[in-house]
Amino acid sequence: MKEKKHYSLKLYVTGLSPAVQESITKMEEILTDKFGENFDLEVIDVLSRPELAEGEKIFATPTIIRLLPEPVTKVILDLRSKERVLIGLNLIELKKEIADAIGDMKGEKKG
Amino acid sequence: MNKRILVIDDDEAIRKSFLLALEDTSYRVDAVESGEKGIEKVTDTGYDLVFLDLKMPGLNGVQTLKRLREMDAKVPVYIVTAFHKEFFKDLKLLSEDDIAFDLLRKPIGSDEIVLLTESILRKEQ
Repeated sequence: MKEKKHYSLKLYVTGLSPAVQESITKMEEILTDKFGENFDLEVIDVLSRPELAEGEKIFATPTIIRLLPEPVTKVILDLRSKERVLIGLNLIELKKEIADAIGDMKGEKKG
Repeated sequence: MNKRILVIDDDEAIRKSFLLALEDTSYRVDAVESGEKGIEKVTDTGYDLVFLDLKMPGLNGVQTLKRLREMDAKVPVYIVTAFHKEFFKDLKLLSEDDIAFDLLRKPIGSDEIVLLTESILRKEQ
């Protein structure tokens, strides 16, 4: 049986306000939905740890780095958009599969 | 309709760098030199993205952002600053008050300006 890929991710955000924490929770839900337990997500608050952002050459927030599976990928996200989160994770091929969910998110934005 | 971007920075070189970086895109870019003028522009015109300097005479970036959020809670605002803790004290207070913003690190290159702008605005085109 083929072994499932493990996704190792770092997310750089600005502060941990309630809105940011809600976005992180939504993102974790997306990841859990797609990968089950085969991922780890480290969240780094740039306001508290700017040196880590400097070290990784992060130039804007929020940025996600996919460390595994390789190749290492660094993408600026829009955490308000589920579609953009998925594209950031190089999961665009799953776009059709989640079309309904994206529609739900857009509905939320209008409300 | 073309997306609109506002750059608020007292440094003319920074304002020009944004204008030059984005001149070949479809976006309409306005640039002003103070928080006060930025507030006026946002009052008169709706924007889809704002780049805001942190340290300016008159209204600084933190004060300007508070005023902007009273008028427009949704527009993405990127505070343009060096990533140093000494600059982040007031920004932490904003975050604790749940005032939304993100960061763009100085110094910033043209490619990075375009990449960030496209990342934020292209999804709705």
